[in-house]
Amino acid sequence: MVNYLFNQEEARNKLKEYFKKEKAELDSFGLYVNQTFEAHTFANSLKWYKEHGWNVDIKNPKDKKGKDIFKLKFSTRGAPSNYSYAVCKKLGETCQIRHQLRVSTRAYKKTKKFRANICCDIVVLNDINLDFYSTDDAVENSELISFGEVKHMSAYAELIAGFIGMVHELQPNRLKRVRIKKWSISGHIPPFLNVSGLLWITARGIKETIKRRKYDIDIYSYEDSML
Amino acid sequence: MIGLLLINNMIFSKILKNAPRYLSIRFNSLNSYVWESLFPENFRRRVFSKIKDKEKRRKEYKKMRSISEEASILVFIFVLRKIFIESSKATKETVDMLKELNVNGFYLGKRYYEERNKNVIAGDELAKKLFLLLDARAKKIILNTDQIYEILDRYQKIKNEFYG
Repeated sequence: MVNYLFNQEEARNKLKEYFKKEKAELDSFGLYVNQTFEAHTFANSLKWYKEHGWNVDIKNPKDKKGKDIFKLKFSTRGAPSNYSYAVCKKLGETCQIRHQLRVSTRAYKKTKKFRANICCDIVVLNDINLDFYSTDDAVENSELISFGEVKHMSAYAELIAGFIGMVHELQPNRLKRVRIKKWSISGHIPPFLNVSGLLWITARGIKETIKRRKYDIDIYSYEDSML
Repeated sequence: MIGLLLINNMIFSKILKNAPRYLSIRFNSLNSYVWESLFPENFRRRVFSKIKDKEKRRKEYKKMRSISEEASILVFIFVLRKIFIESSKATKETVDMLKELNVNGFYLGKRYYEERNKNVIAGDELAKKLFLLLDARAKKIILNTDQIYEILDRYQKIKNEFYG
């Protein structure tokens, strides 16, 4: 076998051995790598609020023994009261930061037969009581302050376009010419998409047009991180 | 050509026999990406149209695959190592941030993450072991690379030595 820049054959053999030897650890790593990134984005959202002068306090559900337990949610199923969230306070204003929470779309009306809601990865909402919400209940759109989507991957144009569609359903007012000269960030984090990888070239193109159109949303990636 | 392509895929499927599916999928897509970046179809057509002898064409194709495969292995290890390191970095930041909010740790499934326990540094450990697979030359390239295209540029130069 010809080698150009390194010993290819040796690397192949060692790689084969590596996969065999580390199989259990690699399997386990793969199982949680997406969740790790979701947890990281949740923690970063809390940090964002802390850095912007909010007092952040974690609220936990109780375990069977009545003890507080920090519990993250990584599925669209599950009642909100079974998972941890944060309460943020600043100058008399209070909000909550939750994750994997169902939110009704702006156009949805209660009288309609089918429920129109979206389970968002990160949700900033007014400080309301969700103790009696079931897994299928959605927070009213009027309670939504902001939200974030998390993807453990590199972004292509379609992913960004999908996120814009989500903003259109949840907070269409963010898709107007908001970020004009006089604009400055309000007390809350604007809706965001956070991808762990890079933005492929077409995704970069869409991001540029978002800026030009002055939408009030952010796209974070490996090269342009949240904090 | 198709026969050779199958042989090459067989070589990689041997390497990836014990790899988890999420990694083998990634490797296969990287392999195609590298191949198409270094030897796009129009380039191959141009080269092969000048070679009339079937056996010579076969040899030429084998040479291209050999360059591309070596590049693929290096790109794969580079990307994999980056995923491991970045994941550990994200986990450490998460643990530290939550600690500031008086949360000592958290569960992902049955795995508990706190301080710098083995679950928190699992990505770093996998990255270290992966790095050890490489010889000194490959290690040097990986350490001096920030983006995939930098590795591809090195192999473009090799390609240019053969094809101008």
